[in-house]
Amino acid sequence: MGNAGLNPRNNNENFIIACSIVQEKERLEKGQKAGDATIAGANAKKTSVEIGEPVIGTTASVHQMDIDDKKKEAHRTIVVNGKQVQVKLKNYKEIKMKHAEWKKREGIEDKIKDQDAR
Amino acid sequence: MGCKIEMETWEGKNFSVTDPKGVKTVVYQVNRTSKEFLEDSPKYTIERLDFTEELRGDMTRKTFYVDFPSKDKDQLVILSFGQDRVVVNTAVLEGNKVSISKKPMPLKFNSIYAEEATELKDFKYTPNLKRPICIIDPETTEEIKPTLYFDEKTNEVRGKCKLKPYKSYFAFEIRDKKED
Repeated sequence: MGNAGLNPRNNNENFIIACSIVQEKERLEKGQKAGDATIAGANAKKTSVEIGEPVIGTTASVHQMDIDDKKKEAHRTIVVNGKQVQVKLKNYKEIKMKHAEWKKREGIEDKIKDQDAR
Repeated sequence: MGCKIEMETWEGKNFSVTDPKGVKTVVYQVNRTSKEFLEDSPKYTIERLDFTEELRGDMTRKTFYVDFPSKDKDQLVILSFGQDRVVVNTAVLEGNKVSISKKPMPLKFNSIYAEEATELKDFKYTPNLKRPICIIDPETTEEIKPTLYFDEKTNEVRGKCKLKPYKSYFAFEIRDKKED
């Protein structure tokens, strides 16, 4: 389920996570139609975090991402045992596509690709 | 002489959670679809976050990576799979802080009577692209991804995915609160 949205988000809206535990029967019984073989139980809903809701806080850190178009590689630089490690990501094309979508979504302008040396 | 800049860099964000023994946590980022794409796409989409893990005795410290963070806030769904239940929770990533709701919601797997599961079977269905439902195998925490194909008899795009009959799977979707 990948990104389809590109507009800046309205972060005041709330959504609901609708979930259930499901099972499929092996085959449809006589008279049943498609969908009747799915048994759903424990249906429940959870809302997104709302303003004023009690929360537990944890810290988020920053890591560096890069795309190298010459080598067709994408990397994530993370900290392992106190040392910075550059990890090559498997899905360069997907990262590149998501990066382009993200820039558009966040209104980040493209860097000048061609510069004259002076 | 011109020179090309062929490398782009940016900052992502990451945060860590600690899973006790027997618990596996996965995290999804919730994204809202822009108006121009709403006709053919669902209002919300989700993206599973990449992670790394580090064993610490009986516990596992997992670090999740939000490689494309929003300037404002990012909404997250946190699913923790245990032996007999999944705990559903939500969080907000804003700045350098992740705020996790203090009201998680558990769902038990044995809520449906389960006969002994047999071999994997192909289950066919007609997908609704405006209403994507994510199915997760609670034992492996892997998503059950369908294979799409064109059914010439019914003239529609259909999907099929391999499931074990009578095995409990966790299924969820994101809905707009206003439309619920």
